[in-house]
Amino acid sequence: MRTKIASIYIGFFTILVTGIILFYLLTGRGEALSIAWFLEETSPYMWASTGIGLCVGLSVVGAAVGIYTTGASIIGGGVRAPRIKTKNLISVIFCEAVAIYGLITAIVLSGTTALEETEVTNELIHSRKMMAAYVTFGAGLCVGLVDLFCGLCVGSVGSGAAISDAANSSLFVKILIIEIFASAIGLFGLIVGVYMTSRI
Amino acid sequence: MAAIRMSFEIVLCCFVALCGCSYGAEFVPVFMWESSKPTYLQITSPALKKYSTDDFADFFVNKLSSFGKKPLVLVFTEENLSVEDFSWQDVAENSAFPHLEGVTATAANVDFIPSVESPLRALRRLEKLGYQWETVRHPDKMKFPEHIGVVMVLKLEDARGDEDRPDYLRRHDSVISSVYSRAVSQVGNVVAVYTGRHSSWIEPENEPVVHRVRRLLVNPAPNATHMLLKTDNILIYASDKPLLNEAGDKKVLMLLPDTITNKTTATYQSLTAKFSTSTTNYIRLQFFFYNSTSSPGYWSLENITYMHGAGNTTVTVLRPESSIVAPVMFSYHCSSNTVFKAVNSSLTFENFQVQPYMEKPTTFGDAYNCELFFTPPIWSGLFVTSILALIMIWGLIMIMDIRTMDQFDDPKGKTITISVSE
Repeated sequence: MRTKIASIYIGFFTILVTGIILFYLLTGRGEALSIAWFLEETSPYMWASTGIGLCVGLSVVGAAVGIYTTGASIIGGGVRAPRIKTKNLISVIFCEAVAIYGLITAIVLSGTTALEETEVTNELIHSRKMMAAYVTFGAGLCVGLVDLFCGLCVGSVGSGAAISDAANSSLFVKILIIEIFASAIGLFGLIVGVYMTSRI
Repeated sequence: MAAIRMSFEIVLCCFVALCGCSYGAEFVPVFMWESSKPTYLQITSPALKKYSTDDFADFFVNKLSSFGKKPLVLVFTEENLSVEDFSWQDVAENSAFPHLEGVTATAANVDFIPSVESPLRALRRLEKLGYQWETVRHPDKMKFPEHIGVVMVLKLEDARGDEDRPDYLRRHDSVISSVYSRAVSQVGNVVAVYTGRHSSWIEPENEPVVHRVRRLLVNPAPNATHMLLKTDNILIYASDKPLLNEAGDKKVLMLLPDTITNKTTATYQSLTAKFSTSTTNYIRLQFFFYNSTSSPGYWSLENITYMHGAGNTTVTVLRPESSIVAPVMFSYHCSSNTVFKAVNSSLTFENFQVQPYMEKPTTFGDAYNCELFFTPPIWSGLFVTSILALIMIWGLIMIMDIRTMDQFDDPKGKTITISVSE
């Protein structure tokens, strides 16, 4: 079922894009399909808003999946070994931190986005506005995607930690080090995003 | 196995062909009349029935048997005949068979069967009844036989090259009536049959279909409203006269004939034309088409210079509001108003189409429209929507992947108890 949905989505877009491209190509207007034209003509606000949305959206998805994985394991393991419940909440906190990275970046980016005139009066100002929009999009996408995978990773590790702690309580402290490395990845994304934004 | 399939397919094909043949039989109308009434019998036939060959043969044999001695049977055959030929009327309500109408007024036992399957085959069966079958080649020189009991078959000649169907039928009609009247005068009893070998098609309207071709380069009629400028390389068209707006003063420009010149240099081609307005004598408009140096293979209409004032010295440069650029071999077209602006003046064209750098300016190349099919907002919407759709599909897939631990679930079993161990 899921392959059917995915293949319908991909197939539809493939056929649509192929049809459009072939039409333009075979009528001799191949250069009318220009990605440069698309990037120049589309509104910079679309790019900035999409970046901000993806930033917080994707990082929260990562955190959510992580907490789901960890939480299910903690609850399951806690049925037989209730001592694990307090110690393993730290995995959940690591996952939550990932969501906070995305939230902070989104707020910072929203602060730099302001509604202004987009009519091209001055080429230099217009190019700076376009750059700002693309940087916002890039920073948002960067933070969002990094935190997505970071959250997934932290969740998987936390889940393993909970189960092994339920089996043998001496294992937990060493496994926590793995989780710290997993969490560091999310921090990388945040640093890069903030650094990009400082150039606007 | 393959042999069985092959034989089955051959049998199937034959069956289909047979069925096709039976349904493909031609049904032609048959028109019959007699010279004198037989003494007693009156035979009528129902109008809308399809007669098979056997039914028609029986009917005709019955008809002939009502005569005392065998009559002369004249069979006139067309190549194609249909009911529509009999019912055709021209504007003055004359039919295609004027003589036949007169003949049948005096004849006896006129029968018209609209749909008979292969009547000639039915008539062949008369040979078995002792009739002699004769084929006549030249109706003018035919000789009627001494003894009767003969079937004479006349094949009416084919159409000449340029005559249309009613004239063709009228020609045959005069042949039929002349032969029939000669036969009646020489021989006593004559039964005449007029039929066809094949059914004809329905005649289309007599006047040919007129294809109206829009000629772009016909010299415009004096009261035409469009503007067309043509030189060796450049073609400019607007569906209405251009409107010049000079500081609030609106003027309609009319093209003066034979004032169009062009000029070609390494970087541009230009077209110059003189227009008259209601107030001034003439003004000159010069269209400049530059071949783009930044992107080779594209031309652009950079500006229109408009010369006016005393002695045409004042030059105003009007630039297009949105850039007019298209590749070489393509034209530019805009159905909304194309405006060329300067500080105080503007020039407006409606339904503007233009193409320079043409080798033979007969027709415009494909047009680059000012109204795009996929505008930038549409592309942005498609982009964002595809991202959102992807996210939604991912969420759907994740939800479908949830597996609940219900392998050992037994709603009727006893619930488990868990002892809490510290």
